Amino acid sequence: MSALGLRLLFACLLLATLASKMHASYAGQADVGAALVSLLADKQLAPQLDRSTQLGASVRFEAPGCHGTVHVMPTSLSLEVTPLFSDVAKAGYALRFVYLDRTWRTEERMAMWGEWLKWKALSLWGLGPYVTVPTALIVAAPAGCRFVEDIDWRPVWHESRLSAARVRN
Amino acid sequence: MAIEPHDTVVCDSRTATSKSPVFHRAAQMSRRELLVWLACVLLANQVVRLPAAFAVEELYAHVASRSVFYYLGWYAVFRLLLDAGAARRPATGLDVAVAASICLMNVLPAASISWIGITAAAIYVLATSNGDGKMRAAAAVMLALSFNGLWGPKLFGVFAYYLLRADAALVGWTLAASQPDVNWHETIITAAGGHSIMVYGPCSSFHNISLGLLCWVSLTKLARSTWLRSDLAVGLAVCASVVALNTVRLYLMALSPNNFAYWHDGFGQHLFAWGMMLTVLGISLAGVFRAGRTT
Repeated sequence: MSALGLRLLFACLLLATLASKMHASYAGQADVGAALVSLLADKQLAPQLDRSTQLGASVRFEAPGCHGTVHVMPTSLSLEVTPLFSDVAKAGYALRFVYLDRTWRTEERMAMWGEWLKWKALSLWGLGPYVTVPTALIVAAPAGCRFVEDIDWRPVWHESRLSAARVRN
Repeated sequence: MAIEPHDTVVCDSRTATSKSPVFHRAAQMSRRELLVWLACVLLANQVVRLPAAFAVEELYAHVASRSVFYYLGWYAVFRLLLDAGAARRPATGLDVAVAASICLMNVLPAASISWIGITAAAIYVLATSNGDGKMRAAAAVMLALSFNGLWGPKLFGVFAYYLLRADAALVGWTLAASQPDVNWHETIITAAGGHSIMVYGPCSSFHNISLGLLCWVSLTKLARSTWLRSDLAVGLAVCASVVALNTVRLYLMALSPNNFAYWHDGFGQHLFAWGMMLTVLGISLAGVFRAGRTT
């Protein structure tokens, strides 16, 4: 291939890169909190933002058949807020750690990062329904709250729900 | 075979036989020009963010948000590629295929793709450097850039909680040695009077280490292509200084609410940023000049 041909090729690749950045600038950041609110609203649970805990903004709602308010907090996958769990995990409350399609009863950081890695690798090939933002959910619910145990949290990370949340914001 | 000046090499039928594998046939462009094109695409993918409504202020803010060490690293990459002797040879078909593939990857939407591209380019340049010191140096700087941009933060994310506990322990122990009634639990440090701080990721000592290492690698490789034993000591000194400065900052923030406001949100945060930058720069330059006098 001639030098001119190669220069034209790479000039086109440079322009394609710039064009893809133009598209990316309108995409915005994935808002797991907004997607969470929309999921709970779809289930007619009347979610409300709560900024009273030291864990930052959380979403709370009253679940049918549960003796107490349920709190759901989006948080980094590194679970840096572990020392503040006592602020929400009051007596009689149980914590669940939810990320993509798995739920844990205790902090399992390595397992959560393993899930991130798995779905991230799949997403590079266009596989999997999730947007692999490194944001998990901490669900604090009264012990024995079966309603919360049956909630399917996976749609929070679905591409369609996160895109819709982005547009609304 | 006609040789034209600078970077274009004419290859006629006597040099590219019909039996040569496609990947080994020489393209009519030097490796140097090809790698510079690749570096331009990789840099554009990171720095250029065409904002909505083409607001110049947003573009400027995006460009200015990067550390000066980031731009130093890219300057080092371009400088070393342009100076590399082995890069004057004609690019092979494999060179063109790899460079084009990496460039094509950059149109994928994932934010980390550009860093993966830089890592792939660095590994390829390292593998095909044919012992050329400047090519290897350019690859080392690209690896330092990608470590600072992607791999370091990802590694930190996985081990963040444990590193933050180490940070809190360091600060807590230092505070306890100089102040009464200090205790710490996991990542929360409580000083006398009940004032508590919690160490989060952005405040961690380890958060800035990869940036310090980028500065050190860039300056060292610009000065010389080979690694010396003394470079390890300089690198460790850079890491130690970052940890020490951050520990001092956390110590001051833990003393009182007023100190926290000053060092976390006030002018103190700028003092800290500038102090760390100048310290890392000074140690790296000292290492370069000291090695230059002894070799």
